[in-house]
Amino acid sequence: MKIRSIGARLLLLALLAACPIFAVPPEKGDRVCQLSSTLLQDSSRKSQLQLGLKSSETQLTGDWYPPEEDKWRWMGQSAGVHLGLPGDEQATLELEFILPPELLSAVGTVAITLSLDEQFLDELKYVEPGVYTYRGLLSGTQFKNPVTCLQISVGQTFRPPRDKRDLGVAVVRAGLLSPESVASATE
Amino acid sequence: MIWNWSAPIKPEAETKGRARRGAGQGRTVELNSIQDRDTVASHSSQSPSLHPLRRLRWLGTLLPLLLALQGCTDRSGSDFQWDPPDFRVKGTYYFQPRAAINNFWWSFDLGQCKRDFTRLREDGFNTIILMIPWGGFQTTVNPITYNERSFADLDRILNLAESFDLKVVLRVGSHERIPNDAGGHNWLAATLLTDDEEWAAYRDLFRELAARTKSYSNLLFYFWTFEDTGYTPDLWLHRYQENLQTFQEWLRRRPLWWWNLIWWEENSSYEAIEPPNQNSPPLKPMKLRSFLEFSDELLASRLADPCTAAREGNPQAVVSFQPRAEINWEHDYSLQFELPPCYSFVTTWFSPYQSYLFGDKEKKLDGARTASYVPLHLERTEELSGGLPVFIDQFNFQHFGGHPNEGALSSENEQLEFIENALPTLLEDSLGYALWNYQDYYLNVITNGAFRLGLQEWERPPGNKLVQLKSLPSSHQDVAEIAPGGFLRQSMSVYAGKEYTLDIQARAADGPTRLHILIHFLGTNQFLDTSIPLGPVVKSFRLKVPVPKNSVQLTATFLPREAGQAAQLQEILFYPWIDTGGIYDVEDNPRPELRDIFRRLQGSALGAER
Repeated sequence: MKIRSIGARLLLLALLAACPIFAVPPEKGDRVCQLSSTLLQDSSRKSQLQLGLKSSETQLTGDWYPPEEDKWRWMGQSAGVHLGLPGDEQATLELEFILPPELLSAVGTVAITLSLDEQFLDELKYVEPGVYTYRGLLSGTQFKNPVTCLQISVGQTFRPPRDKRDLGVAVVRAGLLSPESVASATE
Repeated sequence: MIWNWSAPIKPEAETKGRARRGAGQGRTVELNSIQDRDTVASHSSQSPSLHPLRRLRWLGTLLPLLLALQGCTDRSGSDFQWDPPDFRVKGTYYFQPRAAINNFWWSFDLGQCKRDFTRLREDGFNTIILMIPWGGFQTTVNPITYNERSFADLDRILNLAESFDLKVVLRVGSHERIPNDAGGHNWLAATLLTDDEEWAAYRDLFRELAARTKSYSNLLFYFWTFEDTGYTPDLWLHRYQENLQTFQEWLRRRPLWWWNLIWWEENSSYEAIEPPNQNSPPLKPMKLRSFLEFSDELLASRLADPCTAAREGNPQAVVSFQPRAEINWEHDYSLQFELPPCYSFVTTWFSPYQSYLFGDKEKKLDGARTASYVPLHLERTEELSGGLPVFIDQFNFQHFGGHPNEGALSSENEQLEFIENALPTLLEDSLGYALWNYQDYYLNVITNGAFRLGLQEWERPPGNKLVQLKSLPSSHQDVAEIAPGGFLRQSMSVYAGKEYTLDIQARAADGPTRLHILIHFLGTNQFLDTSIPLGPVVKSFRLKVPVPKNSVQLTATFLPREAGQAAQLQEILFYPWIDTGGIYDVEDNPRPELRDIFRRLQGSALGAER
């Protein structure tokens, strides 16, 4: 069979894309950061969150477990945090999380992918257990709304003995800081 | 090998009987061609080849002559003068803003030296002091090995200084870098004085350095200091087993009951005696004082060696020593001032906080009054040293930290007042002075952060593919290019609880990428991972790094994102603060009033020199 017209070719391609067999399946946890237009404009959202506090829940989305000891909260494969912007210019993303030895023993290297408003930001890889503070310098152009969504995804989860949860990393806090408090860049 | 207490402490003849300097008694010594008869005598007396009876016969024959010459051979040191006699050292320690006390020899820029030397002459300075870090020039103690690159760099600076008519003074064996196999760590040559092998190597550095530099007519003198070999012994000396054993051995000079009596203790044996620790209560002033007496004797017993060694390398070498000019636990370190005859003069420093030595314990000091202590300080130093002329290696007007209750000049105006009143005294009554810093500098703790020495001092993955040195087309400077999967890492000592600043200049080699700077605070489970976006243009990033209160060491790893592009690092600085007090700031801006006062009092090189 020969398909000669351009219109017919495009139609066929569109049909193939729509077919579940040929479409690329979304990865687990993808699109945890879909925001409604109302939420995008909600500038009352905090720019820094302590995830061990119950009050942080209104700004969380995706795979999160209940807070523990008022200090941290485990995430699953992929989870999101809605953060208000500290200003309208540059900001630095800060994320504190715990990688316990049991996690490293189970998964070897911990791989974490960070996205902001569904745009890939960074990829982190760690081989040692510890308390990590990640600081990512961002450029102002990445923010289009007063609220941004940080998506955190891990390459591999682990299930501790006598636990039914699939755990990614234990997040202590997440926030957007004004850059002068932690870092700055000049040409 | 532990230092042996059976070694003679110090022959009395070497330390006593100096006369005070008298007017007109000075002997003019030609710079760098000193014919010091006393030193020759000193060498002869140390010769082991003479049988005691032969020596007596020799002395008997020459006794009348020796008596006649007593005025010359009574090695008071009071006869040392510069040539011409009215020459005065108007100097400064030489650092660059990005190459200072931690890493000068790994980071200095020769082009910057040229610019600085021109300006130094314009501002009336005639001398620079260079620190010769023990480990920077002597890589290992056993066997003794030397760093040829450091000596070659020293040659470059000595030659350059000569072309600018600048004299050079070398502070030998400083402790900011110690040999790889020496006890302690950088900034703490912990077992140098108690370990014979380390001491032999340290001594050899003086010989080697004097031999290699003897042809430089602009090299004024060599000196060393208590600061590099002991500093504040009551703070740390006890932490090392070798030192504790030597202390316990030293205590045997008196019966155990005596020590128990004066310390209010009940030790059952010398081995059971715990070293005093001024960091943990209860403080025991008498025991701390005993410890200082011990450490003083330890230092004094080694005093002759560096000078003798330097003379072995260059018989004309002029050598000085800087004793500790403080009073701690009512101990005045006077033994350190009693220099063997080989030494030509004594070196000391003056900082306003030392007003306490003269009974002034004000915290906010007045400039004119503080200046009035300078002649007293010279007099005290001269008296303690038995009449030796005095050189001030640090004429400090800026307060450089220290005890919270230390006195300091209360304002910049008071500093100017102090300089105005004190500098003429130094020009008149001392051999000269040097500033600690002519220009402000970053207290940078990264070594070879500008890759001037290639990838030396940097840990990196095996092989040479992932990290390479490349030249940027736009500059003469090399950059370190790290491919994904590669890294550069360095460990460094830091102050616990202090916030550091990390300045980094970097760019992406090809497409945009992110550079991660992963810092592990050793001794804790805490990590800081800072990620910066890199583009095609070199950008400067300034990051704040708070060090946890329980960490004094960290590793910093620089690596591009694994799935990204290569990153190029041009320069890295990592510092807790900028040391100020210079006539120029780190950006080369002058402090006009300060500069003018030095220009006026010193006389510019373009004008008359005192």
